[in-house]
Amino acid sequence: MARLLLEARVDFSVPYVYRGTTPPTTVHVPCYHPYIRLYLVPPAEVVGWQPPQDLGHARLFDAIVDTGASLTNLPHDVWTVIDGTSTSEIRWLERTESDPIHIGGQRHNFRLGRVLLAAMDWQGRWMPPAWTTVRCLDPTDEPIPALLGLLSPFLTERRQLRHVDDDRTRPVWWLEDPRW
Amino acid sequence: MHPNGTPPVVPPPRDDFRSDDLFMELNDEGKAALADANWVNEHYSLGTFDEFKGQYIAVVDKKVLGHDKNLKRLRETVSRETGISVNRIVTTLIVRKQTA
Repeated sequence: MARLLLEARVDFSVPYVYRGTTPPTTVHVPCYHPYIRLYLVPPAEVVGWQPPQDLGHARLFDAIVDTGASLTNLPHDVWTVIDGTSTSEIRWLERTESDPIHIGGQRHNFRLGRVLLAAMDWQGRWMPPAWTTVRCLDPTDEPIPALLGLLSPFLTERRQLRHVDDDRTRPVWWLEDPRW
Repeated sequence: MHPNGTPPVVPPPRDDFRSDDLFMELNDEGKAALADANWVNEHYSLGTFDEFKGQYIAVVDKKVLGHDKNLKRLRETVSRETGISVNRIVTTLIVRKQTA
């Protein structure tokens, strides 16, 4: 295990007035998010688990690597793929309170659970699965992205490096295991 | 060589580090799906999918075959209409919000 390439995506941009031209023009500062591709692994297969050869896209989903979030958040559309399967793939944890969380200015109710997540990148690299505590969010009117939080095993004893690509058009993020 | 005969410890070059990468062993279907995922990534930040923002898109062979706010419904609809396995369909949420 060594590293994964994170995908830099522009989810929004911030405009400002550039006065170096006549007349002034509007320039957009692209705001990149680092994305990681996660895979929900059946617990029964964890010993010696290898990624499926056909990728199994129903269990694959993209998540923003969000070091500002503590726990990992799974949207309803994501975690319900495995909820109710013949072997329970979500180990539910009983909450002692029912306070919602706020994501993007909206309140979200959730159940707390533990799931097995593996990570992959868009060039074919992968990292083995690890149990991860997640918030399984209730349905929302608008789809929201999954967030990989700081307490995830994928961010434990690893480092996230940001480089500038050769053509300086977009950042390049790596998630690296420094114990190489 | 160190004076006591012990070879100096030299960190491996950066290229050796890359040899530790774990790579998936994909079949043809998996390679095609990975290529589609790469295609989505390449076009995501270019605004190619802006018209679908706030929705999931379903991509096969570098073509958007459907879009929906409901991921499960999208997979089932595209699979039923095309006969393509759900596992082959690459889905991505378009969350890009371009401010004016």
